[in-house]
Amino acid sequence: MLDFSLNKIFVEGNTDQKMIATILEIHYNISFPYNGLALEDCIINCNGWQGLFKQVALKEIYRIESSGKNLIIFDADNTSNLGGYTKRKKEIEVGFAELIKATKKNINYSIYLLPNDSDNGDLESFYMSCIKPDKRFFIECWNNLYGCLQSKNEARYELKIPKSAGMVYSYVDLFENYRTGFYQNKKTKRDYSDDGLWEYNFEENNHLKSLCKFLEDNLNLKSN
Amino acid sequence: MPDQSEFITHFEVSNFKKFDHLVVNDIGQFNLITGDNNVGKTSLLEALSLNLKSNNDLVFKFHSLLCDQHIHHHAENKYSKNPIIPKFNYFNLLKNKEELPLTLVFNSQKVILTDIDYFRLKEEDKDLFVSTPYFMDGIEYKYWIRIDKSNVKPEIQFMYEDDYYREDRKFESKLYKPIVKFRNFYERDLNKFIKELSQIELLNLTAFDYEEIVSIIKIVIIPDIIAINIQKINNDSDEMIFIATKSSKGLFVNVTRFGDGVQKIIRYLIEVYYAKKNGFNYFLIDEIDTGIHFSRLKIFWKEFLMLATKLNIQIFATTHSQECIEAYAQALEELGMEEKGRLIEMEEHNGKVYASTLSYENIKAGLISNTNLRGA
Repeated sequence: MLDFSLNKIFVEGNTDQKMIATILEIHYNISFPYNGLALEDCIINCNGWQGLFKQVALKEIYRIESSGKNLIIFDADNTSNLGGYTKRKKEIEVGFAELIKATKKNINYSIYLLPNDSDNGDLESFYMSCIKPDKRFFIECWNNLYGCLQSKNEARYELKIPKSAGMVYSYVDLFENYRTGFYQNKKTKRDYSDDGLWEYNFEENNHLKSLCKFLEDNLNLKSN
Repeated sequence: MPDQSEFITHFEVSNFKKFDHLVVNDIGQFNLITGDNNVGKTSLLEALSLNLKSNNDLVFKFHSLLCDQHIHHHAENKYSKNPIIPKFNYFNLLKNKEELPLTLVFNSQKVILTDIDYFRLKEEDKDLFVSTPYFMDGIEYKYWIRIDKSNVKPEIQFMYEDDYYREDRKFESKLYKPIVKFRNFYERDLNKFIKELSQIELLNLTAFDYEEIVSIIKIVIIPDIIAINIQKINNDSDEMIFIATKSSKGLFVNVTRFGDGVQKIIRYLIEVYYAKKNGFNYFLIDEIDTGIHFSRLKIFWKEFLMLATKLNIQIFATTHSQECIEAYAQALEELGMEEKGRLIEMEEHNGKVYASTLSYENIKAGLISNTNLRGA
């Protein structure tokens, strides 16, 4: 049985937290609170990748001495934002090496970098793989818009080019009428389990299959 | 025992109450201890309070602690010259290997209770003992250890302060442990505390100390305070804390007229001075925030931490409150004392207690990510 008092998942933000929770719920029947532990105590939001080594859970002696697993599911990022798969992975490994040196104890960790643990990219790239097939034209539209804005990004305009999160928000807003859930406020607007907008195809989506394999290998999970 | 001038940075305790073996690393000058009920927060404070200047003190105070907790039986007819010595005795259990010895590690120095050679003490004559005055300095601890000849098999019996009554006993200062427990907040106890301190003339606060205490009380809890004093109501009464305020038109009023929160804060302030003046460089408080309104917690922490910094004293305090943790973190940040602050999170799994030491950076990250910092 999955023991979240021992094993923790670390993510970069709220959206990541919800995305992992959604996958755990629909594919592994794990919902939160889980065995009395709140979502934020199981899937920990580090508020950016640089917040990882400040997290309380990494200092917990019980978890360290019991070889608790630390699953790091972060963005690989791109060279344009000082990231990239190889660079980011190395940076996290160096951080753990320093932590192990400081605590003089072995710390059990595994890293998975979105979108697929091999390419550059981020959570949003991952999400784009989960867009409903009949709405995938949105990706092309967005990329055209983004490319156009980039080409006009001259100093005199001082453009605030949208971050990749903007792509997901725009998608959700654009297809508002396709939502099947009931949205009470702006926060629930970002519920990524809505099957009117998203399709979690565990058989064919390679990004999703790769992430699930990582979760299954490290947490001994079995799908529904 | 460690050099009293240095702070505790590493602590271990074995075979004490519910701790088989507990290790606390990376301890700071200021330490807020959290954890669920019955995880051992108070026990950790008690174990830390055994950091004393000599082995005699350790034995004496550990024994006192066992008595407080009714783990150790007292002698019957103890006020007579023929006390009945109880058979149950922690030290006999140790001798018979039915109990593992208390072991403490303060920084790099280790003390095991069995290291103390009470087994080799010579037999004392009971009647002579009863008629012999106490040694005030506590060095001759053989006076506390007896062989009970009434038993078929002679047993070493450890004697303690209230086994024999002495009108003239004045060793309370030796018994003093710089720990304020949760139950120590009410009028009777405050009265007893002040009475003990004033009777043995060890309070010894200067006018500057009182001035400092008044200025802190003014900021934290009684804005119109003018002065504080320890005095008697009349010649027959015990000494007590009195406070003069603008609203009392400058007249001194007994502190018991104020609420529990006021009494608590005043006690902390007086006792931290007292601990320092008696050679302790650490001070332990159980459930520090109980009775203090949440809106005053940050200013209380700020003033208390500034005072502890000025007195160069190490603080260990427990709490159950998230608001107290938040106020503590804010106070550290506003004082620029982040490096000195720690949160020690205690949790129990399968009967074993673990203590994780968190830095200010960890505390802040935990507060932001809404992680439970109050312990499992």
